[in-house]
Amino acid sequence: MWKRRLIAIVTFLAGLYYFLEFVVPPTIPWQSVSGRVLDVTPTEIRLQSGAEVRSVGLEKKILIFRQRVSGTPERVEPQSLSAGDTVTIGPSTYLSDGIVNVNNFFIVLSTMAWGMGLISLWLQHSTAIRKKSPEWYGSIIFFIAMVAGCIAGYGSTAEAGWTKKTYDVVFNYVLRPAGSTVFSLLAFYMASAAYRAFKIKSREALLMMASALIVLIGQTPFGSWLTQGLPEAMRLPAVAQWILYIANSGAVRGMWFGMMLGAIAVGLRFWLSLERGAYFDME
Amino acid sequence: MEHANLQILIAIVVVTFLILYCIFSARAGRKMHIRRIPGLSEIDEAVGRATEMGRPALFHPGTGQIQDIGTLSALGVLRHVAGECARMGTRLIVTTALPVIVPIAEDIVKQAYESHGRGELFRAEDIRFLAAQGDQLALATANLMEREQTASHFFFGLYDYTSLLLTEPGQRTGAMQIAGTDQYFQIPFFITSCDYTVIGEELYAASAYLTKESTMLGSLVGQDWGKILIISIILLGAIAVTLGYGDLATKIVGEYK
Repeated sequence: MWKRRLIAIVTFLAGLYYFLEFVVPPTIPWQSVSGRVLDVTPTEIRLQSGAEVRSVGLEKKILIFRQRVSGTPERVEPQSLSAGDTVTIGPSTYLSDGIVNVNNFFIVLSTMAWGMGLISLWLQHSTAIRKKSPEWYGSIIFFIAMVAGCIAGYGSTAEAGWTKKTYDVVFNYVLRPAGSTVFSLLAFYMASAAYRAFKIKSREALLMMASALIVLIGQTPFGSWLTQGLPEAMRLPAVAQWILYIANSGAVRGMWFGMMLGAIAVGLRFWLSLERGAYFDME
Repeated sequence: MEHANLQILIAIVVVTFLILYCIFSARAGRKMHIRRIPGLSEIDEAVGRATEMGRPALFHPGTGQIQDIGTLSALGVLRHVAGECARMGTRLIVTTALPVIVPIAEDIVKQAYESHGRGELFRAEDIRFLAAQGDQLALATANLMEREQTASHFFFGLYDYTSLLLTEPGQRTGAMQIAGTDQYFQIPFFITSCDYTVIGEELYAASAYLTKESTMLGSLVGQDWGKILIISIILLGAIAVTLGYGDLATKIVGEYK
């Protein structure tokens, strides 16, 4: 019981930190100054803020956010500022200061998880060998590969020598070509999947087939040639563009709205330990 | 890091309030109804098929990280699939690219088998971390499908380009396949190579749909109210722009950059 409560408390506190870090402005709003940078010296930044020119001292806990062409403002250091940049400068609310450390903590946790995975594999394969399970000899290969992988990892930074050679054999001569081979299978799989998709079995499949054909032909010179006599808006390239950028975008945005709301709902359930089912109690 | 502006803050507070209100209303006994999701309804059918054929079922929780919502939702589906397998006495194999999933999946499957009184059917070696690289994992999983002659495949979670590498071998072996992902670009591949596909937010709703718990159903209904709210705002914005009040609408909801 205490374990579950502890997990709930830690989850809530961690979620609360991320939530506050997201919603609380990084600088104290009423003490912040916004404007266009006039010049930057090692001790201060001069800004054109509305009609007046203001100087902001570069103290230790001052944060600078530069407006971007798109997206939210980015945090920058004074030395990367240039005249004409639009910035907001103000004292830190401290919440964002710790985000790097918190993220590093999670990286450490996930690295520990790799150790757990390795232990799990070790147990699984050693049990298979001990019990002489079917295909137990495959487990011996696992241990050989693990040792080879460790040596190869050690040799990744070496200039020469047998560890470097092991690295080359494992990664460059075995894993990379094997990966490329598997990846190339995708082309054939796509062809067979497309063949199945283009079989007209229902009204939806007919619709999909028709739009796929229009987009496919519309992207080629043949599509332009085929419909050159028609008005501009009815030519295949225009119709293909409409399907791709209007009809398709609408559907995708609808999906995104749903997914984002779903993510908020799931996030809330986890944050407040309201989740039920796997790894949680049932009601 | 990104920070919320005032409009986003208001939206988060309103949506959170709606979801929590619906959760607590459902807990208080208010009846909640959600539509049927065919992909999730067919899970029991797929497990039944594996049972009839006397072959194992295969579950793959995607290639995402453990903290991804898609992966967490997939583990919710795993619990249900494992429960059904335990109920019908069918063997379940889980393959993953994430070592951290192994102990979690082991725990979920073991609990499911034990809760149905079939603890003896659980085999820890059936929860397999095969490879960390997506393509190697896909290859190893495809090999497993051929060797074990798995009859039903479940692919739930986040997927990358390996989605087709996982599902096409299943098509070849004639297995019944159900997939669910929130990765937009992988959805067409799943649709063409699987019997049923759970799309986008339906994956997040999976736990709620399968457990039928009032807390979970409440959150789904709250989410739908959030959708209605957003659609209303979009409609109002479109009307405002059409009537020439675009500047006012932009002032209220903020400019998209």
